[in-house]
Amino acid sequence: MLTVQELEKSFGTTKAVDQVSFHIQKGETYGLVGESGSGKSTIGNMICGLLAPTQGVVSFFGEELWKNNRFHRPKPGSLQVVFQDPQSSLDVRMNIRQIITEPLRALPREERLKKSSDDYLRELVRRVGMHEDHLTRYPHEFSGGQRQRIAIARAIITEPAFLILDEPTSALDISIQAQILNLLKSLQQELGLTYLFISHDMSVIRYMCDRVGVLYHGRLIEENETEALFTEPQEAYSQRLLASLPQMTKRS
Amino acid sequence: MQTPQTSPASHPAVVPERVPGTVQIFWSRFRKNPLTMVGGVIFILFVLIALLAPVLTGNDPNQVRMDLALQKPSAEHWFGTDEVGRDLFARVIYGTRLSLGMGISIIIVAGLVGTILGAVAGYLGGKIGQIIMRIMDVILAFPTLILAMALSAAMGPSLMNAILAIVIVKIPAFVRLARSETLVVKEKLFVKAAQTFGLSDTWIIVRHIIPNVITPVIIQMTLDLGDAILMVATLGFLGLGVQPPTPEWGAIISTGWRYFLDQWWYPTFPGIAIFLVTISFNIIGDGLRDMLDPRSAR
Repeated sequence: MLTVQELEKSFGTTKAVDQVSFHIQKGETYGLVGESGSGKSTIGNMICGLLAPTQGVVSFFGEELWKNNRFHRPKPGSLQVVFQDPQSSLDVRMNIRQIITEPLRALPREERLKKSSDDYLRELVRRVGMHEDHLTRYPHEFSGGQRQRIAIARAIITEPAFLILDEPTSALDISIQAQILNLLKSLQQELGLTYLFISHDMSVIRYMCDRVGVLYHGRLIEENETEALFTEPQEAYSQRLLASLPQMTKRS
Repeated sequence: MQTPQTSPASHPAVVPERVPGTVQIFWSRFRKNPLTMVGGVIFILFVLIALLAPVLTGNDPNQVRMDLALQKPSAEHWFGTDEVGRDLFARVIYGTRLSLGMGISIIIVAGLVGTILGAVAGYLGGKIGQIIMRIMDVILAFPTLILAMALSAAMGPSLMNAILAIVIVKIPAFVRLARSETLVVKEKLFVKAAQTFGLSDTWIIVRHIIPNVITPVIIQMTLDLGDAILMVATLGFLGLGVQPPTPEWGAIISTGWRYFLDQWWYPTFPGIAIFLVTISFNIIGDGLRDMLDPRSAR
């Protein structure tokens, strides 16, 4: 579904992303893990069109997204993003209905009208664990977890095929994290979504992902099925990352 | 209230409590700030005077009565009369309409145009941004009053040209303010999110940038309103703005200052009016800034 080939991004003389290639199959969750500054969010930004790659190819359903530093947007709404910080990703000047329906502006009229109908929105907000009464409220009236549910509703309103989840739970309390992760898992099953899951948290990655790529200083140093990576990490850095999980060391 | 949510995805979540609205918060802060209240009261008084001008005085501000020239303030003529016997109280009262109306329209137009230009310059950046900012630099290179005088003289003295000239010199401050706020807002994730949806720059500027930069612009507008009214009066005084016999404060003082030594009331009352209006807007503007800007919170 999504292929990244020899993707590179330089900022000045530093290479934030260096020769990264991976492929994501329909229906799977592909994890990108690495410490801060390893380039994982930069990769996400290049896939969703926020940042032009210095070199390399990003293709979505076989179509190249970046040609000559210009972003060729796939079918509007087919590729959506959930950002890390739900405090900043929702415009406080808009009410929830306006926030959730905003991506529809880019869709054809007929689809837009259908998906902004009261029935459709009611179904949508219930699906993410919110209530239809919330539609007329404003972001500051909600907790972090609720805001992230709103951000998820905004991402799936267009019925996307592919979702980039850029550290979707990093800004949340640990108890809320699990709820959001479970919500994402059940949405994936119900809607047949494909995820690119970006995180620095190994336990979250293990819980969510089918396959994982480990980034270190902009390079993809290891890629494997999640269980294989967690039981037999090949690279020294992956082993160090795993050692950062206290419960993992105890179990092994 | 941050109630931890225990409901699974299929159940309605915890309903958050209603928080006090912006208006209520604003009003409670407004009341705790006595100086701002004073400014507000003076301002409301002037608005009432402007609206009720015909009720407050039975005299026509342009009625010439040579036999009543240069009368002292009295029960009939509270502020006295001028050199052709016009009632100064009526002229000052009707002048309130003109000064407030001109000042407010100048500030609204300049604030609006400045915000749009600043948001475009800040959000798009690049060549368009450069062009906008360099034009603003050219305007800012001149002292504002001198430029307003030059523009107004070049276009010919009239009410509309005075408004236009002051609007032009007032715009750059708003552009700079709106642009610098835009540079902050455009890095926010909700703007990035809107970009990933494939929405147009126009939509993002109108729906996200402008609503999020407008608060400091509005504060600046109230701060500048007093200054705009002062500039209207200055141009009128110099004969470059509103032309006599229109009862404009600056224009009244312009003819009245020659009589100051013997007929002190002639330029004094319009002067007091200018002073009160200007200071009330400065007080309101300062108060608003303290109330709305978390960075200057005490």
